[in-house]
Amino acid sequence: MFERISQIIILVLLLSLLVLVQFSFISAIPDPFRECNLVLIVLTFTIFFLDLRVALIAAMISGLLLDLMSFYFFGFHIFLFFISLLLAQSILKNWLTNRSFYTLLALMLSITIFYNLFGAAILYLINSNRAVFFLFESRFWVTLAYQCAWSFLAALILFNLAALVSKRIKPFFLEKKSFI
Amino acid sequence: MRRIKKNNPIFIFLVVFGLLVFLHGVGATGPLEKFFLNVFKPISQQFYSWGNAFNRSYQNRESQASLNAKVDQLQKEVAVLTVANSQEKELIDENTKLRSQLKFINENNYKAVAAAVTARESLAESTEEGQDLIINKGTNAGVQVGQGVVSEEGLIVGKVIEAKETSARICLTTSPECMLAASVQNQTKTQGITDGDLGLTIKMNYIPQLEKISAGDTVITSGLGGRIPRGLVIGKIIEVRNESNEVWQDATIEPLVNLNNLTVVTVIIS
Repeated sequence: MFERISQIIILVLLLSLLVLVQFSFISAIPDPFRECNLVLIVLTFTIFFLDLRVALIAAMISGLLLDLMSFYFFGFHIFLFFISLLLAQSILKNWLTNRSFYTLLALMLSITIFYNLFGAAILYLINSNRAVFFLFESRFWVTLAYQCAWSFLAALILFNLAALVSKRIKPFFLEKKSFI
Repeated sequence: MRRIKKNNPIFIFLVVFGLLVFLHGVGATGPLEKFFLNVFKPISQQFYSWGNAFNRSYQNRESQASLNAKVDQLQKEVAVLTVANSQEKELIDENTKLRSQLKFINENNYKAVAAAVTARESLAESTEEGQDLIINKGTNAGVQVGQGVVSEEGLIVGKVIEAKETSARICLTTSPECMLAASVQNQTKTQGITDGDLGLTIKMNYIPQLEKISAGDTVITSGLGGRIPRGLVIGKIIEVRNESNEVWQDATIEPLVNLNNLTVVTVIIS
């Protein structure tokens, strides 16, 4: 029980730090560094490396903190992360069933694209006085391209790091012994 | 029919989410939210200043460092001189209109609140050019929507567009849809409305064709229709577009401070 509580406290602290880095530090640095969506990368990696349950807890905590600090309507980030994780789970269950680097890369890219499209669509629907449809704004595509590049880089680093510290995603082969 | 298991993580997530939205809606989580925000405020301020320092060093790396420093210094001097100059001009105008000097001084004795920038809102929207700033003062400190925000040099850099209890959101003058009632410091005191252009410069629109404006003119806030006082310097005109077949002419204004490096701002309350 005590171990579980301490695990949750550590998770909350780490996610708070991550959210603060995303919200205050990354937002202040110049392009293209500013477009790195660290929280989404961590959540996607969590569902890939661990499971949906842990990813949902992380999404709830980080989404809640972002909702408290940002000026979007309350629940925006939690909802967006939730839907993105559901999509990630569906992709992992139905299409990308193995755990390779290419799987993580495809997952990261598809979730990044979905997150940006879905988030911008929600904001467009809510902000009725916006003149230009978000898909026709060059800034949207530039941001998406940068985010995809960051996702690619993150997948490369995180996968190799995980392979170094864990056996979970290392390939294994059933050797056919020859008795001749 | 499939039954939903009670320990299903998606089911639990949705229940907690619904509960959170409900409690936030009725204001039951207010004290807890305030506690968290107060704890995070100094940390986010520190992170923002580190980010800003990184931003500055990155910008300096792009061009020659010494030249940049000199330009920065000169820009600051120009900004200070422009403010002094515009205040002087305003003072002369007030005198000619037989208004007392005291009133003008009182007009500049603004009630203001200093605030630190804690973030730039840029997480998911990504569709708008330019960005909004988030400051660490809100309605508790007297900040309200529509109030003007000035830089250390006294130049207007934006206005408050949203305010919570302990924080507020500011649109920068270079952001599209951040509109200010403005006046050119020329002979006819041309009036117009400014808004941002691609997050880089400011546009002044709806200037009648007959008005004579030229590059180099200083643009100030007109004090019309809002909570922003008259006489705050917005920037200098760098280009005038005047087509003979158009009803209006418009001008491009350059802000006199670098809006990317703001860390401390002042909100003019009254």
